[in-house]
Amino acid sequence: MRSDVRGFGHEILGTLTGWERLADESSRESVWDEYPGAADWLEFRSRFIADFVAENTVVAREAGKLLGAYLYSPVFSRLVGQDYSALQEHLAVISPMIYRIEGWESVLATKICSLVSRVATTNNSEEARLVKAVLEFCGLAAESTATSREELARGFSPGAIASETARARATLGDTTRLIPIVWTEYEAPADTVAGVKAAGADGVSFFTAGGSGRDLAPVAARAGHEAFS
Amino acid sequence: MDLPHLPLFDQSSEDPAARAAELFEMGFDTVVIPMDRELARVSKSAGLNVWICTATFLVPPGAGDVLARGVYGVPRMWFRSGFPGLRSLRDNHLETVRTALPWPEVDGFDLDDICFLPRLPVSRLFLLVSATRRGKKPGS
Repeated sequence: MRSDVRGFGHEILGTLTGWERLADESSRESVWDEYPGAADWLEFRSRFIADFVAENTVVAREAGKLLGAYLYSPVFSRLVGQDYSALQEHLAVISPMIYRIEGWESVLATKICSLVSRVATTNNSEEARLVKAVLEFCGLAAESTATSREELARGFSPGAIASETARARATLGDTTRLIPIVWTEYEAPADTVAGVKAAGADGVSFFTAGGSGRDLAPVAARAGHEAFS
Repeated sequence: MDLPHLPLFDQSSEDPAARAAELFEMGFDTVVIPMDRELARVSKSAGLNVWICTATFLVPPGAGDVLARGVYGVPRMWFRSGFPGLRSLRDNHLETVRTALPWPEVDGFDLDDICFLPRLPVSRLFLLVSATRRGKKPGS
């Protein structure tokens, strides 16, 4: 397992050709077949997390309380030990943290850039190929026009939030409510929330960093009601 | 009807009760707050559902007994978090949840940071985990 994990990290996640193989559906499966221990390692981590959540669910349910969780956006969840499918049986609410603009560790652009930060490219053309590959692998090619890592870091359109919401919805059954969490600081909360609704969310949750000098809670509340009421 | 939530109570408010009432008036039905009984009480009184957000694998300052031990037996942080597999750390979180179980104001709990090695770039997570499990110093 260790050699597979190391090999996957260096030879696939660490190279342009590796990313292009991952991005191409016709070669993706063969990549995982070459490094079976890498998939095993991810599965091992997911079982740890699911087991932990199950313990907490038992305790909460005994007292009549509900349990929810803030999870990484689906595109990254398996890399950090979060398996939506496995977790849904333990959670009443799942809230993917779908933050599309720069600034935080959970932000889509930040994480995607971190995935490819170590990959060496020798010219603009190679960098554009790398960005294209990682966007295609993440299923977000339609939500970004970036051709460089610098452009990629600037973030995604509101459609990326809808796209990730739809991805989460596809993995969940009817027993767990899907309530993505988005920032109130978005410039187009109505569009964002409408997209979340259209993608199959059961509600929307808002995060505010506070201290912006303007209380955006009323704007968020209005957008939420327009979409979900 | 599904209503919007506003997680993370505005703790900077000088008057949490007034803020809770304000949020309810705006149309929010739920707040997610830290482990704070008084915040829970005023929020519930305002008509809001109350969920408590818990950071799952955080290591309390000075809590050497919940740190993972290296190959030489020296306790160390598992990066900026506790190792999710540590029984003592998992029990710590269960105790945190149990603290608020008797609070009637609390409807539920939102688990945060329930990931394997949070707060590092995911590609580095993948590699560092591999290196660490082999007993190598991360980054070496």
